Amino acid sequence: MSTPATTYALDQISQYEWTVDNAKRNAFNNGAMNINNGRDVILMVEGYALNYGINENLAGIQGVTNDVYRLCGAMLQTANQVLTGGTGGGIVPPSGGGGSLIYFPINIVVSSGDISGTYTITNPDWKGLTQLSPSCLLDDTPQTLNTQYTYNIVSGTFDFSLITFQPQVGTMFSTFGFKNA
Amino acid sequence: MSFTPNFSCSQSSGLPGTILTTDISVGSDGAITKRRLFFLQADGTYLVPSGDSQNYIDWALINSSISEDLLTQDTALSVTVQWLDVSNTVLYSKTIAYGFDAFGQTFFYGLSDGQVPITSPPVTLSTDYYQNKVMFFCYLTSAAQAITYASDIYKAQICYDLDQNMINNQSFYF
Repeated sequence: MSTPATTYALDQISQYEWTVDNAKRNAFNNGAMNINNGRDVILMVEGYALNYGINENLAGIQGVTNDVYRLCGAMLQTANQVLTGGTGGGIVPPSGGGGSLIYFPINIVVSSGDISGTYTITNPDWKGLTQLSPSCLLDDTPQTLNTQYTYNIVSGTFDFSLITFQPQVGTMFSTFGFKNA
Repeated sequence: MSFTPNFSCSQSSGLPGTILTTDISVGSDGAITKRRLFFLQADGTYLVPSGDSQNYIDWALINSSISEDLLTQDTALSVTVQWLDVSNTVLYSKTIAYGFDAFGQTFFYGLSDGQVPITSPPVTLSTDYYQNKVMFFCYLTSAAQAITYASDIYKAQICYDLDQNMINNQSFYF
C-alpha cells in the first residue's frame, strides 16, 4: 500500500483522469450516466480531507489513505504511470515523421568548482523517447552512448560521469538526436 | 557568464484574456540577439494575435515582459520561449505547461458573490445549484492537476471545456 503522500498524489491524478474519462463516456452515450459519474468529485473531496490529515498528522490517516486509494479505482494504473514515469502526453516532442531523428539542442552549464564526472542533465521532454542516436556532440566532441555517457529513458537524464576530460567553466552547446517509438 | 533560460506567465481576473509573460532568466549570453514566444494549444495549433501569419510572437530583448490579449475562455497552453542568435539558431529554449483559468475562477467567485442572478429559485434548483457548483469547481481543479502532475494540456483543456459549457449554459445549471 502506498504512503499517504503518494496516495494523495494518486488521488489528484485520478481525479482529472476520471473527469476526462466520464466526459468521453457521456459524449459517446448521449449523456447517459454510468456508475462512475461523480467519482472525480468524490476524489476531490476525499483528497482534500486526506491532505489535511497528512498536514496535521492526524490519527487514522492510514484508514483514510486506504479509502482514497480504493476510490482511485480503474485510474490507479494510469495514475501510477503518470506519477512514476513522467508526463501523460500533453507535451509530445514533434514526431519528425516516420521515426526520423529529432535533434535537441541542450546546454550544459559548468560552474567553477565542478569536476568531471559529477554532472547530469535532465529534461522532461526527453522522457519516453525510445531510441538515441549512436553518439552526441558535446562541446564539438563526439561522445558515444554507454561509453562516454549514459541515458535514463524514464527520467530523461543524461549522465556524463563516464567522461574523463576536465570540462571548461562556461556553457557547452550540444546536440542530441532522438527517435520516437 | 553562463545563461540559464527561464520565464513565467500570469493572468489576472481583471484582464482574463491577457497573458503576461516575464523573462526571469539568470545570467547573460552575448550571442543572443532575439527572442520568440510560442503558445501551443491542445489542438496542436499556435495561438497568435489576429492577423499574424507566423506561429510565434517576436519578443524584443529590451522588454523584460510582454503582454498579449489572446484568450476568450480558460485555456491550457504549452508555452515555449526561444532565445536565438543572429543566424536564427536557437541557442536556448524552455517550455512550460500552463493552465490559464481566470475566466472560470472569476465566474466561480461570481456564483458565491451573488453576481450570477437566481430569481426565486425552487427547492429543486437550489439542490442542483450546489451540485453543479461543486462539479464546476471539480473541473477547475482537475484541469490544474493535469497541468501540475503531467503537463497534460490536452486533458486540462477537456476539463476547461466542460467548465465553459456550464458558463455558456449558466441559466440551466445555476
